[in-house]
Amino acid sequence: MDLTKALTISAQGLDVQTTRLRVIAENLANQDTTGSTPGADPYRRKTVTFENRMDRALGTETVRVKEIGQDQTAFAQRYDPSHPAANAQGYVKTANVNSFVEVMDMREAQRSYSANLQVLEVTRGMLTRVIGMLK
Amino acid sequence: MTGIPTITVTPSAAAGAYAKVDGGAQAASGGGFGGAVQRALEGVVETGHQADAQAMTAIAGGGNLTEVVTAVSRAELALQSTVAIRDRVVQAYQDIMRMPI
Amino acid sequence: MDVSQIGLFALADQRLAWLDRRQEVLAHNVANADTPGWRPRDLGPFAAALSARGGVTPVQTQPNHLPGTAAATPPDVVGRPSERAPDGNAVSVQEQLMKVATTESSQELVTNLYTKYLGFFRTALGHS
Repeated sequence: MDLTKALTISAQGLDVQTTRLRVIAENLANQDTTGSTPGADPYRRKTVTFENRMDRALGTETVRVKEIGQDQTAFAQRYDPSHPAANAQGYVKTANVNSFVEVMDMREAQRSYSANLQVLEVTRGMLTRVIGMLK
Repeated sequence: MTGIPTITVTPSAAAGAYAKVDGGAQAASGGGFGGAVQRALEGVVETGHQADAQAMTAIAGGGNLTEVVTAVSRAELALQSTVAIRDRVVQAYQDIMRMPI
Repeated sequence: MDVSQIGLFALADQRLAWLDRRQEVLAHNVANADTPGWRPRDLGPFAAALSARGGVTPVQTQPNHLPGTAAATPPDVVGRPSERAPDGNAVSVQEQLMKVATTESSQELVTNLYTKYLGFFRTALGHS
């Protein structure tokens, strides 16, 4: 039945956006995480990529997280010789997380999440209405 | 819009036609009440046709929503009136048939 | 007496099936709102779907599904999308939600008309 498939699709949309929000939260929580030994790398920002694939087992196209990758942008450095992770020149590598970018991404993810939720609600209402014809 | 199937039997036309057959017997007795009933019943079929056409257009995706809803509501009322008259006529006929000669 | 032989109910059946399929396609678009390169799909207009095939047919979503008696209508890709993100995603969430809203209200109208006309039959039959 097409309408129950539509419910599944919207649920998948909610799933992928939830994963994205989780990754954004992780990035934000670690924006000040540096290494602990001299010259060590700090937290490297994570990215989420989605894909739409034909799932043979289910027989339909499904939306899923393709991969959680790592942002390869170079780390910025700040001068702090007293820091445990400072290298020989006194520079500490900082996480490549920009909180403004993360917050904007989070807003986008929330918007997509609530859009999927809205479609889910509408589909549910359509199903209820059809079943109500039996009354 | 081509391809929209036309209606061959409508419930409103069926009920209206049925009631009209019974109403014919009454009309013979006088143009007063019987004539009024006759005229009312003829209007029912027309109302039904209009509503059916509007409903088909609306189902296909076009039409003016307000017009459709008012037309269908009028047809519903007309049908219920017709059926009520039909039931009364049948009941009256049965009453007459039960009268001892 | 088969109600589906009467034009109005047959038309309503087809429209409801079309609206169900459209809701599925739109849900798919919104679920892919952030998939790179995804372009939103939609069904062609209902009048075209009506004249293209004679009745309601199942959509072949898998190659090994049995085909229906007429060719299934695949969803079209919308040409010239209104917006495009840097990663190639072309879904406008507002546009999709707008379409979902119209689909919902159309479905409500058709189901109510369906119920209303079934009621006409019941009235004519005498509330049996």
